Amino acid sequence: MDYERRIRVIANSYYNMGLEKARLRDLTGSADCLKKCLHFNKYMTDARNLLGLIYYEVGEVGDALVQWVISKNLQSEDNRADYYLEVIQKKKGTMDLERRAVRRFNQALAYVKSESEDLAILQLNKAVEDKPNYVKAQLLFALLYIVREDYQKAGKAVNKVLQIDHNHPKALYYKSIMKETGTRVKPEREPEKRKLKNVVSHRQMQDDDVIIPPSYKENTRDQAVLNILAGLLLGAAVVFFMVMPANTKSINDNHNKEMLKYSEQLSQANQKADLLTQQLNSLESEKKTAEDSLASLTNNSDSVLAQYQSVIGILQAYKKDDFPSAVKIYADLNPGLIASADVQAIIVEIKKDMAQKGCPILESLGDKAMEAGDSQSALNYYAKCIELKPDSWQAKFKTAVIYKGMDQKDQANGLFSDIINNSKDETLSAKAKTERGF
Amino acid sequence: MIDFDSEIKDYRPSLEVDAVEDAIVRSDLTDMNDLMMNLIKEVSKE
Repeated sequence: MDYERRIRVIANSYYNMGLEKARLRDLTGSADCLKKCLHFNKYMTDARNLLGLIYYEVGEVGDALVQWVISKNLQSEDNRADYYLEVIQKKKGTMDLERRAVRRFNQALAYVKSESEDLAILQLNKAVEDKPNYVKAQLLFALLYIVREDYQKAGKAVNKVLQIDHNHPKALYYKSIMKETGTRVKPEREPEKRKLKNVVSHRQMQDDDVIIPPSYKENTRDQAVLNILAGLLLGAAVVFFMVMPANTKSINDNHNKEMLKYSEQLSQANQKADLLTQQLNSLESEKKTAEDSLASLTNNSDSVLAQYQSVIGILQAYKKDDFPSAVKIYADLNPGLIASADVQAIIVEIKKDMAQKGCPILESLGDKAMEAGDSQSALNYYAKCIELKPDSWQAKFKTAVIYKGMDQKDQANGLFSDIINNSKDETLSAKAKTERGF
Repeated sequence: MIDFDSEIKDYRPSLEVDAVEDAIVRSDLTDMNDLMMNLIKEVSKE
């Protein structure tokens, strides 16, 4: 059976090639070799398991499961596929995630074929987010962005694919297309290399290396948000420190002008109020004077009106031949308050008549008042009598006695002296001397 | 430039996890050894 040995040798050779390529992360080339290996010898369990592993690595979990299950069926004992299947099934949620990602890719592919690229991108976005090593999803994603000429995003997807599978023909093709358009796709560095970014590198430069100045920073979304926030803050600061003070000053100036205007108006109003107050006081004073004047004319017994009424009363008493009443009214008359010349002329006539006949009646009225104990009225009657007839010594004596009784000695002594010196009635003079205390 | 329509034809749907069983059943596991055995059998019959 020489052919069996030859077939085995060929299969082994393909397996070795596949393994070598897998170690170099040429996954597509490795998978081709392993498939050929299995065409020659389906019992090459390691080749089948490695093929499943490569499918799993590029995100084709369904194909991986197929290879591992077949491997398990062909060699039930001591098979590495047991471990792979156990790991996938044991890890909680892994199978659901894989299943969902595959469905999303298939759905995206259906969207692309029905010309709904936007929906396809949404699905692919979620698929590669859940499963970044899903090569077919990354490539379709890159293709859609190349068509949209968004080479940055396409480049990132292509680079991701080339990280997983270094010689993936379609990824290399897309990269070459982008190079033709002049896009320099920055390869994503490994985390280990990223840590060493500040260390001096002595490695040889490659053709597609890009020298980025240290000051250059690619704008990320966060940086853009920070830049916008910084701009807003700067704008707010400019408004606060430059625009606001000017506005505040302008508002204050206007406010001060208005205050000045109102102050002037208030001052004018106060002056007007003072003037009105003065006028009011003056008018009130005039009113009081007028009221007093009116009262003096009307209310009191000494008022002007009362004097005119007294004159009328005297005239009426004359008309009735009631001379005693005329004398009594005359006793209270104050002719000085009467301004009318005609009435004054009447009063002069009355006075002449009173001087001739009125004095005895006045003395009699005074005596009656004294008897009644009304010394003040008695003084009035006696005084009126003396006024009409200055040599009424009896009236003067009675008046002096009343003053003496009221303890008004000066007035009493003056009258007594007048009687002693001037009266021809010796009896009366003796009485006066006695009263006087000589 | 990429011809999108021809490019998209190269893409095939991925094998869904739920369809693994069918895929295994449909798998053609014939290898070179089987072919050779068949050929030898046919030659032996003749």
